[in-house]
Amino acid sequence: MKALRYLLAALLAFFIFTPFLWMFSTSIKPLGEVYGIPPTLLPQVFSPENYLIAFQRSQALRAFFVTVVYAAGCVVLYLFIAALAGYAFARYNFVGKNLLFILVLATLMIPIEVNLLPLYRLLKGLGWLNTFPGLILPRVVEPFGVFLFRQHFQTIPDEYTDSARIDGCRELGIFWRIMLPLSVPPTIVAGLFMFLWRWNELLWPLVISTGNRMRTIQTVISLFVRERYVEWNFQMALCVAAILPIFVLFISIQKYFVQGVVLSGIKA
Amino acid sequence: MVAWKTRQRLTPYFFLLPAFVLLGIFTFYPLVSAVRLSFYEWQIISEPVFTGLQNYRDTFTDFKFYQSLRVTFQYVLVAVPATILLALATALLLNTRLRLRNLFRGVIFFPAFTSLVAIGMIWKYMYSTEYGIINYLLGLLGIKPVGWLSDPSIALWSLILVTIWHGLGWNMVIFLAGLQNIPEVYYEAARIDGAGTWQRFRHITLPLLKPITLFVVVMAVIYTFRSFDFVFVTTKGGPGVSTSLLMWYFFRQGFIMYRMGQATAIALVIFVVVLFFTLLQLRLFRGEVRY
Repeated sequence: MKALRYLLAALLAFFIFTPFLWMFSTSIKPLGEVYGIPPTLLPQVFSPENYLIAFQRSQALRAFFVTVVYAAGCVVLYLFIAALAGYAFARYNFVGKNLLFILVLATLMIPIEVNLLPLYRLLKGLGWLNTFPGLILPRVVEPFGVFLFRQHFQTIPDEYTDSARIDGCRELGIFWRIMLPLSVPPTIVAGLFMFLWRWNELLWPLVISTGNRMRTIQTVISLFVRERYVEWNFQMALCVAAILPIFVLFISIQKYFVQGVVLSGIKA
Repeated sequence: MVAWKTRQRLTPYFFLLPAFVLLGIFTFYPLVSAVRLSFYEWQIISEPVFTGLQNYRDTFTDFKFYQSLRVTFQYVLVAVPATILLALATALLLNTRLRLRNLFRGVIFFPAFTSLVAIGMIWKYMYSTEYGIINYLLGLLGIKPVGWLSDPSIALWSLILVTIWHGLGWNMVIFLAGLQNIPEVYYEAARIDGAGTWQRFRHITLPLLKPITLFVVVMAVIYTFRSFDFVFVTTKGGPGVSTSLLMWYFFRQGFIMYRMGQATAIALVIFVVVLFFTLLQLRLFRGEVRY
């Protein structure tokens, strides 16, 4: 019985992991081997230069830079905005609080494709197509973060803020100097997930950021492919490079990945 | 003192300002203009022209729309139950005491965070009829090459397989959390009463997992319904219309046919369906079981 469970788990893990191995193995093969029969599991001719060639041909380095700025820009603004909003919802009573909170939640239901063309038009009018503000600003606010910070700030006892108020601390000062330093875990989870979303996103940058020098890495990969006689080794090199940062993050802080997924499931 | 009070009262609004400025400009305003644009003929270079319900009429009389609808429903109706059943089974398996359990979990979880573009690419390569590793391995067993992505009767199933492969880990993790929330004492009590493994699963695990399962199903339906990236990098809706999911139909009308007004109308139709499932979820959750 125990042996069967091992077998099942191992088979499943094998089924999930093999495509990644195949991706990596292909990325370091010469083209001849990619199309050779029989296929080779390990490259006979080790060809790491594929990465160099693939990067040069697709201007992937520039795309990585754009993607990093895009994802990081979204993360920084998101954390700041979501923490402030979550703080307001958690620790203040004010007129319209419920209505405003529902309004934030309601944006969960508005899919990007509905707003895609109006946003395209809006950004075009502003001259913001193919610019970082145009790419970033419409993609900054996600209810998940507001939610996460609200939950978190509700758990902090009032004593912290009360004593600070007595000491004459301004409201923003309380938020900035007392609340934020207590909020490392939600900051990591919210920031991590925003980073993952934006790093992996295709449709938005594909439509909004079409200029040669403003493409993100996912766009580049999706457009690099040729119809016939695809150079899979180069293609896979780009894929490996795009996955690698996520893989490193996953290995090092897997528990926050789990937390994020579980939190997204608990309350919605 | 009065000034201080007023400032105090205004503080939360001040904190909410950045979020609502962005939401107003980039979410709510575009939503309103989406509704407006759906009544306009708009072809990227020209200015939009009001045409009333024409875009909706064009959509609802286009047989491609109905084909996309059918393809999407088939895709969702197969991929979602398959993914969730498999995820539940995997969670049960990996909730038992196994060595290397965390490694197994990690491996299965990882694809959920990998870009759909990269995943689509590697599968496209493995699925390739002439050079794909899958057909090569099948060939060793004497099976003739299969047109995984080129045979219209198979292509959608190939996409469904990738969808399951990708979604398995995410749902597994949610189920694992649900399983760990079930107090061990319930199982002990049942064991004392002489309940077997199946009975314990049937009468304790399943009922207590119900709310989480509902949540997982609704989220998966919404997510899968709006699937786009795989199709964009693998089949582009083909061969024929066999993998033309609604999101692909939307993209095609908007950015290949340049009928952007109609595309917006299509997006709104998709939106209404997504909304329907979200409300359904809220409905289902009103009677949530707590434990």
